[in-house]
Amino acid sequence: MRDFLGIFGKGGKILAEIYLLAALGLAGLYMAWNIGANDLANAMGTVVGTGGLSIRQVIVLAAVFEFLGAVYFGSRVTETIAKGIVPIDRLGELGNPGNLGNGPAGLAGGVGGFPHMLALGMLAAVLAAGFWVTFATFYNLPVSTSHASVGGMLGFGLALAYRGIIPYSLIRWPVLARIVASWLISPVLGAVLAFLLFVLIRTLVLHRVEKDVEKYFVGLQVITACYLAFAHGSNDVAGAVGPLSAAFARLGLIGGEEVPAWLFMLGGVGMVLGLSTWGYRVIETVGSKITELTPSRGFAAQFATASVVLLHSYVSLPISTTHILVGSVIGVGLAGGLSAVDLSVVWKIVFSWIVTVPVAALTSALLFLGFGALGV
Amino acid sequence: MAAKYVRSVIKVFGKPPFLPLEEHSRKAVLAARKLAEALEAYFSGDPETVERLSIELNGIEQEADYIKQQIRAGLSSSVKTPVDPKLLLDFLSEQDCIVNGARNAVYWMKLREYGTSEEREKEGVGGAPLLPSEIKKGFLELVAKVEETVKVYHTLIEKLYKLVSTSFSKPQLKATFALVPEIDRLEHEVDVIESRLMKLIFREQETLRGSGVRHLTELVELIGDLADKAVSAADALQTMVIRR
Repeated sequence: MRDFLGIFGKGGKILAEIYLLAALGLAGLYMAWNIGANDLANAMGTVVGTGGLSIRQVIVLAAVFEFLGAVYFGSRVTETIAKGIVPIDRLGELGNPGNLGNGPAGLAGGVGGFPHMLALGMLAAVLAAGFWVTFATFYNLPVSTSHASVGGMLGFGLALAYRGIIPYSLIRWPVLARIVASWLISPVLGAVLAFLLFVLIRTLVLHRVEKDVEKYFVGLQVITACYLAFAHGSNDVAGAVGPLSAAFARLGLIGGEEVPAWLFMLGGVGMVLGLSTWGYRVIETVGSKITELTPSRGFAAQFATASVVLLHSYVSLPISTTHILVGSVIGVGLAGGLSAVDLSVVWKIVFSWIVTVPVAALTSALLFLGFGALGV
Repeated sequence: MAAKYVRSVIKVFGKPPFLPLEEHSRKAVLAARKLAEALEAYFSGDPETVERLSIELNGIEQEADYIKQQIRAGLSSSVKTPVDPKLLLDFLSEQDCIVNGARNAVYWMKLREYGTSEEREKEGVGGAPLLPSEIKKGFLELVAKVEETVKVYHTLIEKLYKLVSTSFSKPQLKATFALVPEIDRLEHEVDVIESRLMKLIFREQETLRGSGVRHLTELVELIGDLADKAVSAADALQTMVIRR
């Protein structure tokens, strides 16, 4: 964009800013699309799989509640992504970003100065997360979008530190450790809760009532579908909106304190778009293959998942809905609710934990440093 | 769309073994039916039909084997089922014996032919030995009872899925296992018919000759075996459910 500056002069700077904002917006939408197309769709697929609701009904419910969850409960996790890992809001507070680092802040000398550079970093973080998720989807790896977003943010922080702009100690390692711990704990929590729920359903309902009880759970599917979509929206919107809000705040487009509703709406729209343009196929696939999940089992798994996800939204931790759902399904299975659960998927998930953060971080760092090298 | 370009929760769902088990049991019922038809054709001197049914039975046996392999393949060590997978496979191989038994019986049946009364009139005393109608009747009675046993056994397997879907509720357990004594009773009736038939065969040893007696007594055993296998499979099923 230095070139733009050369060509357009002062007008060029504004133009460059517009380009950057547009790129950020599109990257955010792309990430949101990814989240909606796969994570949300998987969760909703299990609702269709129980046979309680049609695909169309599920998509409408999911769209509404995903959107509501993102807009009304998405801010906590978004804050964590935006400034929890790398305190982007406080970088360069002293006016001269060079003060923060050891050497000359090479990257900070870009067109728009420090905020511009940070915004580029956020662009790199979103793109890195998005690319990895797309790649993983291509190879059917059970990768989490949340993990990828955290990796992207971390990569940006590491790149800053690598260039001596911030010290490594400025990256909030304890927060990162908490997040990673939550990735290990949350699926287990889902499994335990689903296990208990199913044992409760079994002893109180399945073993007591003589006639077909599954039909009572069909009605509950409407509630769990909404609950699950709301919970998902509240946690996963952060992956798309977190980096954007950090960038927009630094560019002065929005206030630094609170993420405005329109940004969450953007994320919500992106996720709903993902659900309706690609996700319905995922719903179809998932729904048609998991006939084992009767409404009572589905209720236990989905209710547990939604509760654990919402709990993590409340404590501002970005977690993977899909992994918790897998944990919950295993919980129902171990409680004797499913005639077969395949635990080999657990190793694939563990593998994805180990791989996702480094890969997304490296991609993000390389993208960011690449932007710098290109003089963007 | 296949599960392509999807990051999905599907993989955590293993291949449920219980519906294929029911399908496998349906093969047993079909095999028992074919055996009964083959026996009828055999006694009315229709070797073509017997041959056709024998080929059909081989096909059924292969289909049953395929289902068995599918179930076994779905039970890798990472797959958790509400019952012990080892006991499930034990039970499955007992059930598989019913199909194999029907095939073996028809195979054995074909090894020797008996003349019909019309042939006897044509060929005189030198033709194949004539089977007394009492023995024929006994065999048909035997195969009918065996078929009934396998059918009742199948209703037990049909209840298994319901049992799993209610996560082994006590009333369902009761309803399912109520069928086991019924199968035992039928098997006992089969035994009674068997021993009566054996006596009949030995009574006719002069006309049937040694090989005829050997052939028919073995055939009685082979047909009766289906009921025994149904009982063993029901027992194995009960063990599997009780020790879950």
